[in-house]
Amino acid sequence: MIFANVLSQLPIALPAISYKAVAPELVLFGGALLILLVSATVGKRELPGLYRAIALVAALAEGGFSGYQLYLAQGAKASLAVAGAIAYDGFSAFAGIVVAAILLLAILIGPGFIKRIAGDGPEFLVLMLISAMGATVMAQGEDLIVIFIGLEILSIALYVMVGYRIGDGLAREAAFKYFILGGFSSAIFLYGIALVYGATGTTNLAKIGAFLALNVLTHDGVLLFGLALLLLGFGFKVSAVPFHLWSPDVYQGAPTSVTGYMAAMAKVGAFAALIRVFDIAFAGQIVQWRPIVVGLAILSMVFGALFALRQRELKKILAYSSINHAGFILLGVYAGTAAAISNTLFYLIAYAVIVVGTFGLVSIVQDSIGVSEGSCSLDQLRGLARSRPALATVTAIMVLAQAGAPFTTGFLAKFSIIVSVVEIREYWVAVVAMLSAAIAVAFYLRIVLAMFRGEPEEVEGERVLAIQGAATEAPARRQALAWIGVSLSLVFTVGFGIFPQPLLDLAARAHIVG
Amino acid sequence: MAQYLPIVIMLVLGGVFAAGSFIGSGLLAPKRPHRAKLAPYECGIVPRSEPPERFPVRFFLVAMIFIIFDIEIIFLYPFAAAAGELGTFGVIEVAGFALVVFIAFAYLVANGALSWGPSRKQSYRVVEERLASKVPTGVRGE
Amino acid sequence: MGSDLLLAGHLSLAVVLIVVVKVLVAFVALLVSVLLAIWIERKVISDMQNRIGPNRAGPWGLLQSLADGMKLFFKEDLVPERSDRFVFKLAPYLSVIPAFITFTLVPIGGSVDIFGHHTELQVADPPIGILLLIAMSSISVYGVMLAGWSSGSKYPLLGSVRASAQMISYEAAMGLSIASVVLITGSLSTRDMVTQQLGTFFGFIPHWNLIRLGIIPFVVFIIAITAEVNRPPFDLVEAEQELVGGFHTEYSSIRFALFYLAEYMNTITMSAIMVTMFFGGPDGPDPTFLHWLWPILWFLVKTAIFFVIYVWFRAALPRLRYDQLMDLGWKVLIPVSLAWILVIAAMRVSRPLGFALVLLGFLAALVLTRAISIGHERAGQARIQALPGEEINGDS
Repeated sequence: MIFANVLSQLPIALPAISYKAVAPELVLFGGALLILLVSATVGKRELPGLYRAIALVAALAEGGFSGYQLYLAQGAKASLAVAGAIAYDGFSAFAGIVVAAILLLAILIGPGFIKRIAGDGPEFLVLMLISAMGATVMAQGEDLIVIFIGLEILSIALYVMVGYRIGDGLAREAAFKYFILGGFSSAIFLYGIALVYGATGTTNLAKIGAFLALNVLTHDGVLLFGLALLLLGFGFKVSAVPFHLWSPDVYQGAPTSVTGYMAAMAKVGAFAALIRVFDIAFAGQIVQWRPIVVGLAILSMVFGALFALRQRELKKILAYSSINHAGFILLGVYAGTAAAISNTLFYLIAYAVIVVGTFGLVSIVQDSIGVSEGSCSLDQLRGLARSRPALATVTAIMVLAQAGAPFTTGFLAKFSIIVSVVEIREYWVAVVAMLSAAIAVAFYLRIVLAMFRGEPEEVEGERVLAIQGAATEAPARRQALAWIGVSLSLVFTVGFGIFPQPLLDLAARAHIVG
Repeated sequence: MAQYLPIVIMLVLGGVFAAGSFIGSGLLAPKRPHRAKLAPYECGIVPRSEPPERFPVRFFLVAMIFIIFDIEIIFLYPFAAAAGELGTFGVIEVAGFALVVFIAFAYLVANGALSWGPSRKQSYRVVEERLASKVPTGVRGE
Repeated sequence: MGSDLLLAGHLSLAVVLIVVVKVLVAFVALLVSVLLAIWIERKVISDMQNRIGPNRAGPWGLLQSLADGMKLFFKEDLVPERSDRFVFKLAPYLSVIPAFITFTLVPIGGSVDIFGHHTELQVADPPIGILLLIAMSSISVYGVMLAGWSSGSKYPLLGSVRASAQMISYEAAMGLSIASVVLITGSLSTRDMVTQQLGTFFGFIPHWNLIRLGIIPFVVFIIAITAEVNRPPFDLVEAEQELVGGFHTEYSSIRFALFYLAEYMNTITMSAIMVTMFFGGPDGPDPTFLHWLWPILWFLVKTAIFFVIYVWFRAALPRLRYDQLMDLGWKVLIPVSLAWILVIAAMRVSRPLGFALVLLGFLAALVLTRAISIGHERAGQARIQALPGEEINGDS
């Protein structure tokens, strides 16, 4: 734009940068840069404590700024900033809090396990902070181009993180698959942006909404095709059926702590942007996109649950379970009312915390029974309840929380989404959702049963060998911080499962500007 | 677009000149191919192996790092052309952008991504130290 | 903004004819100057090395290069068996054509009236201006890379890989130093660059970018383009001792001649660009008579001086080692020119901001020096880890 202005000799309008609005991004990115700078100027490459401290401070500061925004940006205070490209409202602030929660848990859980694979370099935390920044940019983006940039920042960092176990064939395949397909879907997304721009003459969501409210398109083919492509791009990122094919392989191939982080972070960013684009800017087109979204949601819920039943590999089961969850969250987008949006946000934070915690537990399990981060079949879980009762119990609670057991946030999340669907009088969709949740319970129970049945002796010998071979450090020390993270997520899940009101109130404050 | 007409003419002329030279050479030059002449040049030795398909990964690294800087330069040009109008705002934004690239660059440099050379002195020193310290074990080993 | 008034309005036949004539004149002038340049280079170097140099063909050997060129037409044109024939034949075009096109940007004089049409003594003045130079120098990397790759032989391959790494490395530094010229001109057009440099400070110091920008961008630029056109002391691409002839080892006859031609054209064009960007182009004292001639004369004199400086480089400086070359490009030229352009931009806005950026620049320099020393340390450690401990034992 600036360049075109220079050529045409027009005066350039300087945007006013509201640093208050972009503070969460700045803090995250600043933390990442600081870690890089420290690693470049301090002689020792591996300073795990310092790097982790910086990352934690950045995550907490991001959460703090987001909370402050949630408190400030209410009603008339919510506004667009930076030349209308960034939204400063309760919705993005709440998404920022979710990002901070994910980061906090992932920073506690991840690096200890990554150390086994790639040492204590600064890269992992830097990538984590940068991808989190991408997610917040997506949540705040009020312009399709900004959302695309956020998507790329998020995805490119994730591609690298997925490829961390590069020595392993499965992991290499996963990283490559994710990279190629992800790049492809980004390109499709960008093409969708181009078509929407062609139809409406702008990429700014507020202006798109205003344009579509004032004008009736005589030929809306371009716009609808653009919408379909945008939906495809988002669908890939959240791994909704039928764009889910990458996710089981990638979930399995990636290091387990990365899997949890990726499942949560990609969903938060993509769903926040999805809601802002579809439920706000294209609210007038709801008749056209609703059937597609509900189709994606139902396919994801049903196939996610059914395919998971056939799997024997723990991480693949959890991958299909996350597809199932994506279907549920899509239902919130589908309902599209203000209440549905705040319920979706509640689902997102509940899901994000549970999934990071669950995969953190899977990491601990894999570490304890001495398998690599890549695979862990249900058979290998056999007897875990005998050998590590505490671990098995906590894992069971988290897995059941994913299933939607009462007294956990997982239950409330599913319940409130179904309520939103019922409120718009789409009873059959609600019925399908409940059925899929019931099917899903079956495979979650299989995981629990696998842990609580059988004898531990079968894997004992293998376990001792593997630990001696792989670990240079006692597993207890490696797991200590991870346990803190897992406990936090457990406390969050059960605590807000029993006393949900504060969290629900917070989610209810998350209005979208415009 | 008329401003580009001379460039197009020059392009055509350059192409015609090159093609004309080839044709001229084709008409004037002798053609006596021979196996030895057509073989890859190896200072007179008959080549035994295919040319290497792989070369040091550092070259790829250089290409990737170049892309980072190329993008920075691409962003610098619009700024440079409009710097007068952008004023303090422009300078601060570009300086921030440059800072980000610079820190990434410092990270790359610190991890030896651009160190081609031998820090020979050091590695030789270590080899010597090893030699000195390992001799007894080596002797014992034998 | 760059635009030749000649081409601004309706394109009549006369206008097109003028354009064709301008292009033809530039084309022929460039070819003739290459012949002269090669002769000058050989003569100057032989004088510096206490030899005689070419003296048979024509007076003082002036026609030597022409004779060489004609000879090459009669040489057998070989396409090696293992080569990729299409790419092998394509590569010379990719080297020669950019070299011609870059020259179109250079303003060689003021403006004149031909047949009632007012026109500038410059082949083209497009709005993208100097960006065309960067684009063309990027394309000529392809020429070198593909030539070496398609030959199907090891020396050309290694030479071309080296060459492309070297050329892209220095392209970054070159781009940054050009950006500082664009910054102070406020335009991409080469014509604007020249007109902005007219006039003097205090009546006697020329108002050239060399002085306006401080010397640093010029120094960076001259080093960068020496590497960019693969001239000594940066001619690792064709380091005879290691790589025979480098990327064009397998090229013979007229194909080889075209690479040779492109190299000298690039050298001349880059001298001319340097004069345009930093030395006022055709700017100079202008006696009252023959108004159109003087700028051209000044331009030619300045360009010739820079060409001779290149020759001098070749005669005086030993070739760099590859790691020195890369270190110089990445760890010195790029950071320095980046910091410099920021400082210039800030100084133009306000003094305090400028000094703040100078301070920041020093800080960055400290960080970078530290990072470089750490980089050496870590690379050394990695190499030490890669050292086979067992073999050392065995040797002892």
